[in-house]
Amino acid sequence: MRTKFNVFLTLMLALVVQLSFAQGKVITGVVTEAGTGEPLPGVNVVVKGTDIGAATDFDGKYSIKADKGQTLVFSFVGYNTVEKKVGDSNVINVQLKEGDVLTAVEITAVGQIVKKENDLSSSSKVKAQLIERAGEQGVLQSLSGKSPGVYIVQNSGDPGAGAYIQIRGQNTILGDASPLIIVDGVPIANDNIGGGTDGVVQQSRLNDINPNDIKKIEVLKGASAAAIYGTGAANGVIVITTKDGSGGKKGVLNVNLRSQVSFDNVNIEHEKQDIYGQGYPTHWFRLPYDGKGIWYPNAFGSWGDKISERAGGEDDVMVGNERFVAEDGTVYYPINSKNSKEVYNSSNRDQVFRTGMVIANDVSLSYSNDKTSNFFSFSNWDQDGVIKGKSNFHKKTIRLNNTTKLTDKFTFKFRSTYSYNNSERIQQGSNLNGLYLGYLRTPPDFDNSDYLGVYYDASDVAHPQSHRSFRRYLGDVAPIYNNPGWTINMQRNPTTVNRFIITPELSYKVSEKLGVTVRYGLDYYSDRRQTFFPYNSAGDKSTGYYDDVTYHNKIQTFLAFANGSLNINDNIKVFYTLGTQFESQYFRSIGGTTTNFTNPYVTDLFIFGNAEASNESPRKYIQQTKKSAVYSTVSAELFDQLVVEVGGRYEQPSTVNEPVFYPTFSAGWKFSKQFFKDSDILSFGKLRFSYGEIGIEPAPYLNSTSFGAYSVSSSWGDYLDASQYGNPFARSSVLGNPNLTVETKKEYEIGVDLAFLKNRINFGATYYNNVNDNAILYLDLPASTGYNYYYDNAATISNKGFELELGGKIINKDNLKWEVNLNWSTNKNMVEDLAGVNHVFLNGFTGTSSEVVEGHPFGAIYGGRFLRDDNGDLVLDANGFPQADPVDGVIGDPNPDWIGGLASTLSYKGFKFNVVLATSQGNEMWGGTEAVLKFFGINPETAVESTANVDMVNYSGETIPAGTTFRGSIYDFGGGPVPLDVDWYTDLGGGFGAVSEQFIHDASWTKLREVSLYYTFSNKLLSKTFIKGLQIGVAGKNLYTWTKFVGVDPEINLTGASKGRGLDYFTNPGTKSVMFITNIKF
Amino acid sequence: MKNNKLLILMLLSILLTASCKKYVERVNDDPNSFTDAPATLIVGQAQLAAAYLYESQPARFAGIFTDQFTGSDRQYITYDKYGVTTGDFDDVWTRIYQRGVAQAKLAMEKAESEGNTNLAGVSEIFYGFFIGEAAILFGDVPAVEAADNDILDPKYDSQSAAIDFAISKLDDALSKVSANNSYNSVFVSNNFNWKEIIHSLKARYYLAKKDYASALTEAQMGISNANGDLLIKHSNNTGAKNMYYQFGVEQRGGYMTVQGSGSNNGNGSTLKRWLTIGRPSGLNSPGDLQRDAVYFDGLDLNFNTGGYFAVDASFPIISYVETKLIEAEAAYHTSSDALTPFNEVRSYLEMKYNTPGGFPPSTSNGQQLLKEILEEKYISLIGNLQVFQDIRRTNNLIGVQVKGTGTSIIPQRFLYPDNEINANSNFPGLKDLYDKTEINM
Repeated sequence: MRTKFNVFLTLMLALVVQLSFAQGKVITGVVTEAGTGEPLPGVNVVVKGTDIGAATDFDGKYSIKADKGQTLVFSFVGYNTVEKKVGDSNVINVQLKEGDVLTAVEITAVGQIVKKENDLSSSSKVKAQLIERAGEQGVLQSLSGKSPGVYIVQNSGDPGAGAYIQIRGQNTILGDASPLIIVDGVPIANDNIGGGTDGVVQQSRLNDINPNDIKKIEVLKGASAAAIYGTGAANGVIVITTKDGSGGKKGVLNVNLRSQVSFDNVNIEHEKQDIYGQGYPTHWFRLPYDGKGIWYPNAFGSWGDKISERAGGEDDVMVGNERFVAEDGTVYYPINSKNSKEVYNSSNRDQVFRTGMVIANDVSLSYSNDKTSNFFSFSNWDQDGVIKGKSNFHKKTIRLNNTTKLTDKFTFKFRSTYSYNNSERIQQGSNLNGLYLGYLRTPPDFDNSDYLGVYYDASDVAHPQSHRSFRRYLGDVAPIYNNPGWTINMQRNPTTVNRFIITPELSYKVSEKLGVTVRYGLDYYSDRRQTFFPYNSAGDKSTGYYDDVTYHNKIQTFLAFANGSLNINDNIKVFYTLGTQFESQYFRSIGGTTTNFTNPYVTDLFIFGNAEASNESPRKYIQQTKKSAVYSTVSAELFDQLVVEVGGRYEQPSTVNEPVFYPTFSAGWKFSKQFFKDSDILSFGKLRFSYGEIGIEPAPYLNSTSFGAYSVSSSWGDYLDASQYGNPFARSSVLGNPNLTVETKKEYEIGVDLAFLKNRINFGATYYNNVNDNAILYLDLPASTGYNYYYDNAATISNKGFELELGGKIINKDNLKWEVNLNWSTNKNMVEDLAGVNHVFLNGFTGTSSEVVEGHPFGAIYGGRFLRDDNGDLVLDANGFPQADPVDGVIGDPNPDWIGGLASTLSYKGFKFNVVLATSQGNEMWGGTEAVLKFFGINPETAVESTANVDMVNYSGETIPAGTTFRGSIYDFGGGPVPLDVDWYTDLGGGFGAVSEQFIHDASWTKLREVSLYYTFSNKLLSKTFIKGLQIGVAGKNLYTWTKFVGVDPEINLTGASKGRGLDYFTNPGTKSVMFITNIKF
Repeated sequence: MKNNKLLILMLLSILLTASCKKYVERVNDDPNSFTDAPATLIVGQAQLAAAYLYESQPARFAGIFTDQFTGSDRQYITYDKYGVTTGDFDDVWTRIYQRGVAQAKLAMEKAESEGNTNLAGVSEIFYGFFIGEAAILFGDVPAVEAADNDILDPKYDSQSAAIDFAISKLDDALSKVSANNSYNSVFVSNNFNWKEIIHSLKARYYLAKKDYASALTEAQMGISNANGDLLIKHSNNTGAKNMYYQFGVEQRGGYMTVQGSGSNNGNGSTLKRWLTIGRPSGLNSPGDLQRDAVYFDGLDLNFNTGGYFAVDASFPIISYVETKLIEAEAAYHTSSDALTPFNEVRSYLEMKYNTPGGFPPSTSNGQQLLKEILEEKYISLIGNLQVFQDIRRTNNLIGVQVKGTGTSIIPQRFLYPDNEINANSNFPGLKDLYDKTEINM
C-alpha cells in the first residue's frame, strides 16, 4: 500500500516535473506596430488554452514560459490578434496591425458601453490622420464627402467662414438645425450668428477647435443613437475626441511638428462683357431707336456705345476747378466726350483678387507612462484671403490634456483648450457697400484704380476723403455703389474671438464591472465684431457708420453616470448605463452703433462719441436656457449573435412647460455567426433595426407677447426710429404661445452591415425614415387681427433616404496598398403639412427666397414666375413677350437628389496618394448675380448684336425698324421671334424684374475635394538623426469643379450656413488651394 | 457593498429628477422685452405707422400710379408700368393693421380703462383713420372684426361699410378729445388740434364715398389754417429723416424720379410737365414754376435743403389745402360756393411760394371749375395718397398719363397682400389690379 502510494507519488511528481519542464522554455521577443515599427507596450501575451500570461514592457519586450508546439496569443485593444506557434527558436518577434474597429469596445460620451461590432445605428468615424490630411482650418470641412447622409458644403471662400452641415435632411423651421457637437464628452457651442443677405460672412464657432488636436470624430446620424443625448441632438451628433497623449512610446517625450503653407485662388469667376461702355441706349434719350447706345457718365448701366467705335486717344475733358485728385496725384476732370478705347476688366479684377496664403504651424508634445498621459499642443494659423485688402484670419490655439490614474480605482481626466482668433472679412451680398456689387457692376470702360482722393468743387473748395466710383466718377458726393477698392481697403470688419473649453472628469471604478463617472464642462466664448464704414461710403453709410457688438456665450454641463456590465451566463451579457445631466446656456450680446460722424475724416479710430447723442444707440440681448435630464440604456448581447438595446431620456428643458421623454430601441442580429461561420467569402454580416425619438426645443421667450419700441420701416430700407419720436412702444406682431412644446423627430432605420473576404471589403446599407410632426412655425395671422404671427407646433416635415457605403482594400500587399471607399446617399425631404400656411420665409429677398412650402422640399426656392395657362404654356402679351404671374410660387429646389463621395488611397512604400471626390447632384440655385448683371448690361449674353429682318416690337413697345442691327438677341417665346434688347433686360428679363424663375439653374457639382501626395521617410534613413519621423506632402483642395452653374462656385450660399439655401447674389467667391505640408516627429 | 452604491446612485438620480422643475423655473421669462406698456406710449406707435403710410412705400406707389413720379430704376421700372404683385403690398397692409389699427385700438382700450378720455379719443382717431385709409386703398377690408383678440379670421366689410365704420370711430373720438394737440409724439407741434383734424378726416372719407353734402359740412369745420396741418416731423438725425429723402438719397438713389414715362420719357411726369409746361385746364398759374423749384431738382425730386423732400422736411398727413379743396369740390357737387374755398387755396399758395400774382384767382364754373379744382389738388397734394383716390373716383377726369401696357386706366386698388391670402379663411378672393372698388364704380 505504502509502495503503491510512493509509486503514485513518484508518478505525480514526475508528471508535475514534466509539466514544469514543458513550460520551462522561456520565449522572449519584441512586439511592434506593423507599418511604423514602433514598440507596443502593454500587449497581452497568453499561452493559448492556459491562464499563463504576460504583458510587454515600455519597449514592447516580453518574456513568457511556453513549450514547443504551444501557441502564443498576442492581443491588444485596437489591434488584430496574432497567434504564433512556439517552434525551436526561443525568440518570437511579432508585428501587430491596427485592427478592425469592429472588435473595439468604447464608452460613449454619455457613458454607454459599445462594441463597434454591435453598433445598431449607422454612424461614421473619421480618424485623426484624415482630419490632419485635409489641412482645413475648420473641423467640418474635413468631413465633406466622407460619409453618406452627411451633407457638408463650404458656403464661402472667405477666410474663417463656416461650413453648412445637414445630416439626413432638414426637419425644423425655427429650431436649431445644426447637429449637436460633443467635445470630450460635453456639448459645446456651434453658433453661426449672422448669415443674412448682406454684411460679412461669419465664422463657425467650430473653428475654435484645432483640427490637429482631434483624435477622432464620430457622426451619429440616427435618432435612436442621438436620443440619449437629449434635446438638441435631433440633427445628429458629432462626437469629437481630442488626443490624450497615449499611444506613443511610454516614458518618452514625443514631439510632433506640423507646418503647412497653402496658396488659395478664386475658383470660379463671373464673366463680364468688354464691348460696350457705360451709358444708356439711344432711345432712352428720346432719340429714335437705333439699337445702339450713348456713353453717359455715372450711368448705372453698361448699355452705352460700342467701345471699339470710339475716336480713340485721351478723353476730352473740361479742365477747370472741378476735379478729383487721387491719392497718387492723378487728376480727373469732368469728361466732355469719351474717346478712350481702353477697357479695364482685367485691371479692375486684379484690384480686388490675389493669391491668398495660409501659413500654419502646429506643435504637439505627448508624454505617457503607467500612471499618466499628457498632451500639449500649440497651433498658429495665419491666412490672407483671396480678396485683397482687409480679408484675413489669424488663429492661435493651445491645449493641455491630462489623464492621471490617481489610484487603482480613481482616474482623473482634464481636457482644456484656449483659442484666440482675429480676422477680417469683406462686405458682400445685397449691399451697396459690398465687394461684388460694386465690382461686377463696374462698366468695362471705367477704371476703378483710384477710389480715394480729394474732390475740388467748381469754387475750388477741397473736399477730402472723397470717394470715386463709376456711379460718381468725380467723387463729388458719396457714390451710389462703392468702388471695390474702397470696399476692400477703407471699410473694416474686424472680429476677435476668445474661447475656453475646460472639461475635468473623475471616474471611480467600483468594481471590475461597475464604474461611476462625474464630468463638468465649461465652454465660454466672446466674439467681438466691429463694423466700420468711413464717411462717404455708399448709400446710407455715407455719413459714417460704426458698430461694435460682443457676443458672450457660456455653456455649463454637469454629467454623472454609472455604467457596468453583468455576465448573467456565457450566453447573456448585459451592459447598462444610468446617468443624469444638467446643462445651462447663457448668451448675451451687448453693443452699440454710431452714425452721422461729427468728425467725418476718421478712418482708423473706432470709437463711440463721434456723433450727436441721438445718433448713438446701444443695444443688449440676453438669452438663457437650461435643461435637466436623467437617462438610462440597457443593452444585452445574447449568444454572441443578438444585440438588443433599450434606452430613454427624461428631460425638462426650460423653454417648455412639461418634461419630455425620448425613447430609443434597437436590435441587431449578427447572422454571419450563425450561418456563415466558416465562410471565406462573407466574414461578417449583421442586420439591424432601430427606432428613436428626439426633440428640438422651441426658441426661448416665444411663450409671451412682448412690447417693444419698434421702428417703422419699409422693405426698401427707409425707416423711422421710435427713439427719435418719444420712444413709443407697440405690442409685438408675434402672439405669444405659452403652450409650445418640443418638436419631436421620430425615426426608424433598418440596415445591413457586411464584410467580405476577411474584412477586406465592407458594405453598409441603411434606409431611414423620419418625421417631425409637431414642427414649430410661425403661422401667419392675417395682419387684420393685429398680429402677424403666432408660434405653434403645427407643421409636419419628413425625410427618408438610403445610405450606401462600400469600401475595399483592392490591393493589400506589404509595400503596395490601395483602398477605395465609396459612399452614396439620397434624401427625400417633404414638407407634408404647414397647417394651412402657404409658405414660410427662411432667408433671401422679397421676390426670390428660400422658403418652406407645403408639398415641396424644405428650403424650396420661391419667387416670381412667368404667367402660364392651364397647360403650362406661357401666356404672352400682344407683342409676344411673356408676362409675370402676379402670384409668386415655387421655382426651384436647392436640395440635392443625391450626394456621394469617393476616397481612394494608394500607398507604395513611403508614398501615399489620396484622391477625394465629392458630389451633389440635382440641387438648384438662383443665379441672382447673373440676373442683375443682365440688367446692367454686363453679362456677356447682353453684348451680342442681332438684326431685325422685319419691323419688330421690343418689350417696352418700341418699334425696331426692319434692317436695324441692335444690341441683343432674337428669341421666340412661342408667339414668334421677339427682340431681347435693353428694354427686356432692364425689365422682365433682368434681375430686377418680377420673374426670377428664369434664373434658376441646375447647380449640381462634383469637386476634386482633395488630391494629395505624401511621402514618409523610412526609419532607416532617419535612424542616425534625432528625428523619429518625417513626412512631406503636397495637396490640392477643390482644384477642379465640374458644374453647369456659371459665374460662381455652386457650393457658395449668399445666406451662409443659415437654413435658407440656393441663393447667389453678389456672394463673395469660392476658392481652390494648393498646400505643402511637413510633419516632423522628434 | 456594490449593490449599496448602486442604490445610492439611483436614489440620487431620483432626487435630481425631482429638482428638475426647480432647476429650470422662471428661466424662460423674457429678460429683453416688456410684456406690457402704457397707452400713452402705444398711441405713438400708431402715429409712427401713419407717418409710414403717408411717406413711405404706399405713398410712392400712389405717386407712381398717378404719374406724379416716375419709377425709373430697377424694380421701380416695373412698378412704373403697374407691374406689381400681391407680395408688394404685405408691408403696407401689415403696417396699417398690425401697427396702425391694432396699436390704436389697444391704446384706446387701455386709456379707457385708465379713465383717460382724451387719450382714448386721440387713439380712436387713429383707429378710424387706419380703417378709412385701408378701405380707400384696398376696397373691402376688415373693419368691425379687425384687431379683436378673440377673432383669428376677421371678416371683410364692404368698402363703404368700412368707411362708415371709420367715420363712426371719428365721431366717437370727437366726443372724447380736447381741442388741442396733446398725446402727440410724431407730428410737428404747430397749432393743429385734434377736433379740426377729425373734421378734415371725416371730410376726406365722405368725399371718397361721394357723399358731397357731408364732406362739405365736415370740411367747413376742418383745419382752418395752414398752421393747423397735421405734419410728420423730421430732423437730420438718423431714424428721424424724411422717408422720401431716405429712399431717394440714402437707400435707392435714382429709383424714383420725375423723368417721365413712355413717350414722355425725359419730358417729365404728368406733374412735372403741368408745373413746367402748364396745366391742361389752362388755369393761369405762373407760380407753378416756383413750386416746381421747391418740388423738384430737374428731373429728380428735390432733396436739397428747403426742398419739398429735404432731409428735415415735414410732410403732411392732412392739411388746410386738402381740406379747402375738399370743400371746394364738395361745394361744386352740391351747387354751393366752390370758388371761395378754391381761391382761398390760390391766395394761400401765392403767399406760401411768395409769388405775387403767381396763383391768380379762378373765375371758372361748370366742368372747367371742377377740373381746375382737381388739378390744383393733384399738384398741391404731391406725394399724397389722396391723389390716387381722386383720380380713381373721378375716372381720371384731369387726364394724368396712364403708363401700364394694355390698360386704359390707372390701377384701381392696392392688391390684397399675401399675408391675408395665406392666412385669413374669410379672405374674399383675389381682385384684379384694374377692378374698380365699390365706391369708385
